Amino acid sequence: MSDWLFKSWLKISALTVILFFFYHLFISQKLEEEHFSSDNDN
Amino acid sequence: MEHNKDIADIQAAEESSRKKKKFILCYHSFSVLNFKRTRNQIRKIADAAGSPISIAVIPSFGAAPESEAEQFREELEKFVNEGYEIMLHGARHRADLSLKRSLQGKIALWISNNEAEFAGLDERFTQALLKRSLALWKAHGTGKPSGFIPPIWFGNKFLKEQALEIFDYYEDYHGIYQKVDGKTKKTGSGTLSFSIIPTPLLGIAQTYACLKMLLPGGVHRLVFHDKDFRTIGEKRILNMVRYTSTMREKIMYRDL
Repeated sequence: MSDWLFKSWLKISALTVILFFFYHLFISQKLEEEHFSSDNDN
Repeated sequence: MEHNKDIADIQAAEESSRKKKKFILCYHSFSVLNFKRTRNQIRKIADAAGSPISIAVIPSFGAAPESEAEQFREELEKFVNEGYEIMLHGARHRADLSLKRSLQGKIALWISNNEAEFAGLDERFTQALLKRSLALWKAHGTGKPSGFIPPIWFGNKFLKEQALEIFDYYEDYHGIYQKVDGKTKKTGSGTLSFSIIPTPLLGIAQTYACLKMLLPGGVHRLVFHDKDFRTIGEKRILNMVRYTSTMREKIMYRDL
């Protein structure tokens, strides 16, 4: 049981780190734009 | 026609979702010492957000010459007349090291480089300092501030109740408090501030702030200081405000 819990926690943590990393790349790009505009702005 | 209706429906749904999520945009530590520089920063942030924001004001004038003090008063009055919301942010912000503090208070001073003015004070000193803060505001300010924000969000066990007897709102690091029917109501709210974060971690902190704003829950506070314009940079700050404004509706403390 504890082994299963630990492995699940490990997988979730790794996935969270990967998702956060990709979001970080995306947001860094957005914040560096000359003038941020959302996709809704037309 | 049908296609246009679909687009309108989608836009209405997005707008409704955005309005369910709210955030507060607050500029901290506006004072007589920095107002000539920071007034422009505040207006730029408000422009990026599309409406006036909340300003946490340090009311102490220290040794500022009377001419500067007069200009500062005029600037405050302009902000109030334009619809900006004023919060009181301590008396001097910097702690008086001669006052007796609890162990927690001393640790808070160490962490904050002696900026946590109210940390660990006893009931009497807290009351005295709070009254001093309000007296300083009354001597120079216009109208009544909406609420009280302790410097660095470090308070003590007496401050919240005492502040709520005078002001409509009080906040700490975890939430915003107000009195409703004699009871203290807490609004869950994360503090997204960058001024005490080491420079190498600022990029991660900005990403975390944007992610927190993207996810549902809480009326989070996005807080900027004068220092952020040197460390993060104006372009990134304004883009962060614009990005957050697309995901959440900006409100003020008085809208809670």
